[in-house]
Amino acid sequence: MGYTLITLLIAGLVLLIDRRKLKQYKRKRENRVYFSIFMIGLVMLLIKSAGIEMPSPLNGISYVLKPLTKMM
Amino acid sequence: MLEKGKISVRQFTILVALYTIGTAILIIPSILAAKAKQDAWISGLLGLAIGVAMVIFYWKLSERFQYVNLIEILEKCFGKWIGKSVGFLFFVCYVLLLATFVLRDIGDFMTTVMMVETPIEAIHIIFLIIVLYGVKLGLEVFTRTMELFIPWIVLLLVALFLTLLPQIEVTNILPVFENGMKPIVQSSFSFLVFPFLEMVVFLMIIPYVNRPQDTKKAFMLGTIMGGGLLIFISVLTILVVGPTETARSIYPTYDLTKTINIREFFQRVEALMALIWFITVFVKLLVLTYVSCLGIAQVFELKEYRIIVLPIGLVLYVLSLSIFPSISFLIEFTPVYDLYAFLWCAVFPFVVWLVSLVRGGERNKSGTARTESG
Repeated sequence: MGYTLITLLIAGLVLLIDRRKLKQYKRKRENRVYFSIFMIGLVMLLIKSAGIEMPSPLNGISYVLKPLTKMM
Repeated sequence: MLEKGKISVRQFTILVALYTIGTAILIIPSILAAKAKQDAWISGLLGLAIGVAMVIFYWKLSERFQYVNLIEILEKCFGKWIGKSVGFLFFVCYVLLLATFVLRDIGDFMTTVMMVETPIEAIHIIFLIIVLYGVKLGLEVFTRTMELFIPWIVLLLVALFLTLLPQIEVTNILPVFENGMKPIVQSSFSFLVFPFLEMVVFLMIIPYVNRPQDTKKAFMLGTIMGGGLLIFISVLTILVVGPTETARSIYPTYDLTKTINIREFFQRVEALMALIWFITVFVKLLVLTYVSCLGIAQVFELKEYRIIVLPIGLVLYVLSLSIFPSISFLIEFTPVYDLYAFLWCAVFPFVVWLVSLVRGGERNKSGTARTESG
């Protein structure tokens, strides 16, 4: 629980720092890209803070490239 | 242009040199000594020679496109949509991944040997805050900061060398060529991949040097300076600690600084010497984060890259915590990573170069036509 609170605190801090920049951009594109990356980060952080083990992207890379390394 | 700042050729050299040293200074002696044993210096020189050749290739690629940055190169080569998608994949799957590795490296180092009871999250957050602040300030500011770091690094390295002089045993690097050529070549491949092929990210920075046509020499000089220092540190470690111990250790350079002992008085200075790699790791992480922010901002055609620095920092933070469960996973992953990095840093630019050769005639014609009319 405490970890989740810290997570939300971090996310809030990020938004607080960037709020002026975000208001400054009337263009939708900047805000859209900003919030997509932000949401990816936040969701990952919440999953992590809930104690659920995330699959590492390295497993995928290993799976694809392992046969090739054996050949070399 | 997303980045309005310009850096000088000299600053670019420093940036390249510090970036090469990066995290490599911590672990490269054990990578080199793992297979080549006492012949690490030969495989180091071999790796450096091929590394410089690769760096020249990167520079040629940049020159071929009149020094525009990587995304623009890809757009010119493959067209707008395919170029952007490939660029996005490169920045997310390679540069950002590399940045998480670097962050995790310093976190693992701190929690393994220096501050054992501190949670790794705390170290990551503190390190990231400074790095993100640096990225937000921009290229010009952080390269100038690096110029300030140089005297300290030189001073500490000279101190390291002088204090270790009494403990050097030349017999440690003998006999030469004990196991033949094969292990030397294998080690040099790891050395090539780890610091030198990562230079591909400088394709994003060359355009912002004030005289890009002069960067070839600077690029080579920086690589040779950084690579030479890495070989020097590896040889020093093997001379003092011995090849077997070097290969077995995870952080051989740190073990090396632990052995400093002059008349039982000048000892336990490893925390001071750790300043060398705090600075170089900071530079490497800074450059990687900067390049990935710049690249992603350019893919989405944002007005400035500074806006997405903090969200990317957030992603970087989470990824660095969950990217690998333990350091043994990383050691097992290393051969796969070598191949993965080779694909992104050698095969990928080579394909771009080939495509530009095939399409070259047409583009050059329009290029000269434009200069004549303009």
